[in-house]
Amino acid sequence: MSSRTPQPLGFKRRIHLPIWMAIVACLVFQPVNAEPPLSDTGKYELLPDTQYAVRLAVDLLGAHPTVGDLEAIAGGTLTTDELIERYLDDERFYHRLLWIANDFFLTERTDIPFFQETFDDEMEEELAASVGEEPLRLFQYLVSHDLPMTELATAPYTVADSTLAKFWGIDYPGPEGGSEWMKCHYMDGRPHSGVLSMQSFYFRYDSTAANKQRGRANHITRIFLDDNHFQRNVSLEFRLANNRESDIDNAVRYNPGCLACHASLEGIVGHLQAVQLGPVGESTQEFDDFNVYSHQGIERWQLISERVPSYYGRPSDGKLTTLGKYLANDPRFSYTMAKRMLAAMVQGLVDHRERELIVELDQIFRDSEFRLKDLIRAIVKTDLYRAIGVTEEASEDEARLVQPFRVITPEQMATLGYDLTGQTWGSKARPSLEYDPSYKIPAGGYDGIIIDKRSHAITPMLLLTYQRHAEAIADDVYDFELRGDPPSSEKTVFTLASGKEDPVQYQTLVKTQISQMCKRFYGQMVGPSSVEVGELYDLLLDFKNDDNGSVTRAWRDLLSLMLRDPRIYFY
Amino acid sequence: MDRRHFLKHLSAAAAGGLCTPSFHRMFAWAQQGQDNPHFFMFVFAQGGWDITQVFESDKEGLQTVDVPTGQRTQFGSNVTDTFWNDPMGRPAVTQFFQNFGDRTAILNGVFVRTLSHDLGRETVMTGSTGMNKADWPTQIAARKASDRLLPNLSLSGPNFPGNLGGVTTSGNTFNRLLFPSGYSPDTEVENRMESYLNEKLNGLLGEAMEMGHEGGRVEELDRGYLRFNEIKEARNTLNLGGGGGFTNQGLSAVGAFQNGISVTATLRAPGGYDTHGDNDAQQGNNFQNTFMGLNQIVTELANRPGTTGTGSLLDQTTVCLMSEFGRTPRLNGGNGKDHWPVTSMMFVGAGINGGKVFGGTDERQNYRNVDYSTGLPDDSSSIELATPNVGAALLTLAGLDANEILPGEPVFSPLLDMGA
Repeated sequence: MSSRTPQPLGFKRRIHLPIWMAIVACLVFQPVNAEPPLSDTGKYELLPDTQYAVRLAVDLLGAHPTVGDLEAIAGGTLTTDELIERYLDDERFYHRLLWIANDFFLTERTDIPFFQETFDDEMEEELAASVGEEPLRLFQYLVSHDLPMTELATAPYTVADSTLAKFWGIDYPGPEGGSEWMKCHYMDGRPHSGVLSMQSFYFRYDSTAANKQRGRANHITRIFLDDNHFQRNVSLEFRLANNRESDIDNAVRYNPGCLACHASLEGIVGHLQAVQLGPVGESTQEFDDFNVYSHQGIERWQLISERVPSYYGRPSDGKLTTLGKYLANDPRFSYTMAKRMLAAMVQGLVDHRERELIVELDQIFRDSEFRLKDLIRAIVKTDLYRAIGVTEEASEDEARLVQPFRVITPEQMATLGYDLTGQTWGSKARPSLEYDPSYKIPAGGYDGIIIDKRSHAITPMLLLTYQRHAEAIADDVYDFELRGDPPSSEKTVFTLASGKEDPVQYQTLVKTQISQMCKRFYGQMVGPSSVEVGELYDLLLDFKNDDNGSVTRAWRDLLSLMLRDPRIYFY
Repeated sequence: MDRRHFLKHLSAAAAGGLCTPSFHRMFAWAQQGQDNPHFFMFVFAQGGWDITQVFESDKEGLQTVDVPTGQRTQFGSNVTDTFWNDPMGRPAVTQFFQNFGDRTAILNGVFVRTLSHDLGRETVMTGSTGMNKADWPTQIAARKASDRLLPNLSLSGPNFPGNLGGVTTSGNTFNRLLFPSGYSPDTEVENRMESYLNEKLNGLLGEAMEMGHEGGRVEELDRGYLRFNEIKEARNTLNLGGGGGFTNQGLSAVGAFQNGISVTATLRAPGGYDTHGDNDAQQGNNFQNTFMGLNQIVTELANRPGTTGTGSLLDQTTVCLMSEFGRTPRLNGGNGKDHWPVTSMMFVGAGINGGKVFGGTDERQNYRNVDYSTGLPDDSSSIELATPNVGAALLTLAGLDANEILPGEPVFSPLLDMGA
């Protein structure tokens, strides 16, 4: 592990700094990301710049670089460092963050299983989207406003759109029906503490009278500290005499096997007593019962259980805000964030063998006062992130996570498909590969309920799903750009040719169009006279024959073929 | 695996239209009796069933347990091997035990340690919670039959793929993906596409191997495409049927077993078993519908020839009925029953020590420890009957080393008749 020099002011990019000062600062001071951890190690075979740019774009934006950017990188007039900065300020990066956050919050959902009486059936999907996204949108908000990620547990506010605000009773400052997620507050007077005070969080992670919020407490430690009590190695040796509540209560207090978890869990539980149990039922009354923050809850818990709230043995007054502060100051919070972000970026099961690297990333994260962009920037500049192979210098552990390629996730494929064609499979607002578990799961995604982890396995179902995705968006391009007559400014694919001209008579134009598509789709700088373009051109002619002379249908076939290319799936 | 091997696969796929030798071999094994797989069908009653409705037949007359209307009937050779049923309310239960009681074993007093639906499903299907372990059908399919086209069919019900998600296929999605309603290239065009794409895949594999990658991810890529092509080639024989419902799904699974496509399947039993109100009527109706479907499915298994050339498909198939937990002994104020951490399970068919009831609960429906040599309740024993022990038995039945997957967990072997 190498130590890091304290970083100068310049790189923290306080937004209130005048722009000229920021520019001067950047010129004068060495930024923190100039020497990312474990770069130039000589231990890894690295992707060439243009392919590295593709990997960065897929991971950070769920898109591909523009042809202009690729040409500038190939020509040496744009560096990948500059590209990273651009991507980290791109709107699409903030959308990617929602899915990165959901990988551990697991709150995104497609339905509202309770309280049917309280809303119109027709708005269930819209409501489910908003309720599922409240924690994810705070995550996004903190990054986009350059705020410390510790506010996930401490923010004295929440974020909401008008749908969520109406449902839970939040003072949304935007217009009625507004879809923008804005900083606001619950109106029941609850103390705000980031995700910990979000009703949506407790809707997703329910509790019962028997469970007494223990499941919720475990989800909090799992999400924020990577401390999943269910994964502790404990030895249980007990039976309940009568399975009475008092037996359970005694066991979790005195039985050594039970205490292995409950010694820490019960203290966290003590902080949650102002939150209601549930949700249960369909009625408005049950909604009202659930949607109440009980300020007396803490005292009630102490009276009933004769126990006091605590945080891993440290004293606490039982307020959510106190729990939030403890979590934010826990070294495991930043370490967990560093570990999770690294795992997300390298698509690997990161564990103790990467501890040295995680510690370095954790240090960068803390030096930046918990700014996520600084952490992600450091990760994508590591050799490990850019690697496609190893040299003889690499140890077995260092080689462990290196793969010849990454597998695109369903959410990335959805946004990449849109980026390349302007079309989505399913609705534009909620594309199938992002939101429909019946398509996401075969492609390696999860629903957050039954399946809660990604699979990066290369399965026939993944390939079949992506083939259908390619066909669906190729067909939409055919309808919109080839059969319709949109203005050229609205076209995404046919930016040079119309797709209607005779491919033999306009061979040069058609080949130039194919060349352009190769650059966008694969990041490969092939010219109109290249072998690759020639092969695809020949296929276009074959497809035209197969399609009874229809040029537009031949283009649809060619487009669906190009969108199924393994170079799109594996990057 | 060297590059030549990949090229061989790829050229075979390209030159032969998509029909690779291994595809034919796979089906030939199944059809000519050279293969002897053990199939498992998991039926999951979601919500938590009331074990006094059928399985726990010894609670009649107790003040501590509310038992529904019914009668106790012996189905095994031992007088204590009985089930509980209401001939008026759920006649399908009696019919089932009359038909298949000698091939059926009941496990009572299985401790699941939780009252949470999510955790109960996970612990019953995987033996633990929060460990990201694959469920029993996935474990069996991945370890015994990963070369099948669709090793594990998750037609409905819970699915815990762990890190073995690649072997599981969701039936409804599969049909929608295999037979899309919108645009799809015609055969001529598709064949041209496949040839082109195989060349590109070959390039990708070649580049990866030049970087020193062998096996692992590269092999996975090769295998994934190979099976992908095989599935598309066999498209019309893989139609699992669009029919919904428990019985239709069960029959789809039976077809997938017989065709050599799959070795495990998971289905959800009809009805919601989470009866916090009106327990007896709802549970009774659910058990009637579940056993009615089960009669048809098991009868179909018994009537179809096995893939070994002798016996029936039931001789190669074990049907496992489970639920995430049981329900409280007493009715609550709404005539419902709440969650209880002790459940029952039922197993039918191949490798099962049929006509028997194992394990049990006491007069307050607490689990009782069992003697692992007889499978019977024994309060002097220090070993309980819990979900990992049942799982270990199923893994053993599948021919796997249970100790490798569940180290240190005793195998509940009385359930098994390995000589069958």
